[in-house]
Amino acid sequence: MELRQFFTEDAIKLDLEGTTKDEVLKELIGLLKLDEKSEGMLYKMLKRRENLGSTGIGRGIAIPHCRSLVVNKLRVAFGRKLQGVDFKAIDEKPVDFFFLIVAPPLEVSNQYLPVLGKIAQFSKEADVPQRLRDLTAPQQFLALLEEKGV
Amino acid sequence: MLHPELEILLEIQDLQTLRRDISTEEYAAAGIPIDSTERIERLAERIAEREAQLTPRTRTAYQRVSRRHERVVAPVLHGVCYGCFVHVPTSKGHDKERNTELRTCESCGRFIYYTD
Repeated sequence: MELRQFFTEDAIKLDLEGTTKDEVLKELIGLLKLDEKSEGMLYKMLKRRENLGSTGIGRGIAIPHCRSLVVNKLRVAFGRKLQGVDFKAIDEKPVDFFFLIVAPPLEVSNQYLPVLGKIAQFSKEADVPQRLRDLTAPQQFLALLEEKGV
Repeated sequence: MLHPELEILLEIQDLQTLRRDISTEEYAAAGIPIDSTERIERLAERIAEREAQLTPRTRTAYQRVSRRHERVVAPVLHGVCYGCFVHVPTSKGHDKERNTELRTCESCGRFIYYTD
């Protein structure tokens, strides 16, 4: 299982418009193209998870995630905000890169936690923040995932 | 539109799943921080709050199902209940509009949520 297989170009946005944590979460959810009700439920669940502790893991990276029945398979999205957003990250620094992960409560292939772990592992690589900062097109993001082989 | 009690049941289930996930070793290994047990207890309180908002009839059914199954709401995808993998009778339809009513699977008794 490789991360690349879960991402599609239309769920990658390199110029997020939101300037607050809530706005960014909504914008990321929007990349999944769900109906309005599902978007609302997903937003509530992501907020509940954030209330347990920010998913901002430091070095400008956050991994908001949750499970919800509003999706019937694992969905991911990536967003970037070069000016950074206050996400109450663990290092208290602004977050520029956001990996959204959403999965149904029950998955036959059980990919949710492994994908979460792989994104966390990818994020810890020394050059990743700068490589993400340098991206100019979604395809480059996909190429980076392939190159890293995570 | 989503039946209000189905919305509550979905939230309860999602919260319970969150509680289970964050207590796994795999989750801890990912290194995603979780604040104090106090906040986790608040999660349990929220689940209890939402359970109390169910009508007595639905709450009884919910308690009965949760004694037998870890998950009380099952998605229905392509006409199949993903709780017990039995076909839901076609008369009950497949589309998301069916979520305006609170329905249960005739085979396993779980509440069902149409996802297609």
